[in-house]
Amino acid sequence: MKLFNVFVLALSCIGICSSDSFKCTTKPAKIPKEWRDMVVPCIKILEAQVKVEIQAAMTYLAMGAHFARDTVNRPGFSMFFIKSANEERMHAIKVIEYLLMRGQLTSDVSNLLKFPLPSIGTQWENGVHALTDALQLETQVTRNIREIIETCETPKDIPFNDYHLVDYLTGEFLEEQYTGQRDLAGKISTLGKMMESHGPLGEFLYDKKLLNGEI
Amino acid sequence: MFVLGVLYAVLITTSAEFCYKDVENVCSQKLTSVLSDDLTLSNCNAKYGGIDSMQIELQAYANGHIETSFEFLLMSTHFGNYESNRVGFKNLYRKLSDSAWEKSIDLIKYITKRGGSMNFNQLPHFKKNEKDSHVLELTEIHSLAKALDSQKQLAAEGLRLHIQAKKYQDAAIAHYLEEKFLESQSDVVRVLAGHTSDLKNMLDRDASVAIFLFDEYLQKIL
Ligand SMILES: [Fe+2]
Repeated sequence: MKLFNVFVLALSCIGICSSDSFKCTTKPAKIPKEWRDMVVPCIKILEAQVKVEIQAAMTYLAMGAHFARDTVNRPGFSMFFIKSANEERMHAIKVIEYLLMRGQLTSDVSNLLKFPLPSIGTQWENGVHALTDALQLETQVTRNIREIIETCETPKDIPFNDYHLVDYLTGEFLEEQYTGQRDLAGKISTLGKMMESHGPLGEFLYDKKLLNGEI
Repeated sequence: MFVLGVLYAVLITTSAEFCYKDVENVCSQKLTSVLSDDLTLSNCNAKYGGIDSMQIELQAYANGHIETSFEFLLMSTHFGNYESNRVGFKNLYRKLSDSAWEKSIDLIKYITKRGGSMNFNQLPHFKKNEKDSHVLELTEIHSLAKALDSQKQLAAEGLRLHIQAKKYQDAAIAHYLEEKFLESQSDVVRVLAGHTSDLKNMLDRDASVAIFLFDEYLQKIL
């Protein structure tokens, strides 16, 4: 029987704990729950934000991939969007870290993201189009964050104002949203003017500026 | 000098069948038709060797890394909650998540470097073990086992792609896979196998203290 157990173990790593001689699980400690004071509607909507941020990351990644193509050849735009993709992924991680700090995500972490991730666009006509899409995406994200703030400040039928989360979202997330949106709008303006009169030449010049971090 | 001249002539004649010919076609058109915006230089791309045959495989591999990256992120999240509270395990899986994410981006850049394009809907080639597929709330030892299985699957897929690259006689892709994937994959597989073995050997007595010590150890080495 013992030999058989060893055999089963050897078959699969996941099978490690099939044997009785191992203690794979530890008894959970007794921890009071009262300190976890976030309320359900607020938790739900904040958890949903993880998906939103990851979706934004994937959209930027698709833009980065598009502008890296040989026949598109806009390395500056590609670099800019890949950097944005990394930032969006970090936003998702920041939301997760916040939920963890507040005692959440003790079960069902698998529900935070669904695989495979929803499909995204793959083609953009030019830099202005991609930047415009990016601005629209960020505008939507800002709306989402405002909605989270509203939900967590005055949750429906529950008298609990989540001051700390609201302050965090306002100070960290909204701050970044608004500065980011201003930056995108400025870029669309400059590039739009250049492409209006000079088309690909304007885009070419702008791309090199982006690449060298001069804009 | 003569050799150079011949070489030059050879280069011109070979490329004349491709991009060069496209350019000639476009340049011989009248200005008005050129302006009409149908100048396609369809042969003026970065493609050579086996990229056309390998592109789908590479796209699937990139998507496999993206999915793996998010799975590790969620595993990391689980160990970060106050009930699990294993910072070492949390950091370990976060590091694996970051690495898979970076590798997917590197692959995308490589695909486009070789004249290809990325398709995010190309499903990963490897299949998950259905039993554990997307369950990510795991005990410490189960999580190491899952991480090891998952990294070995990526490594095995890397080897398979390498064989494909050789089959299509594209040493450049084979070399890229070796340098960027195969090398680091054997490292990470070995490290995870070692962790699993260590923890397994310590679990038969007092699991809670063993896991605590092992978690502290993970925190230190990361
Ligand atoms: Fe964001």
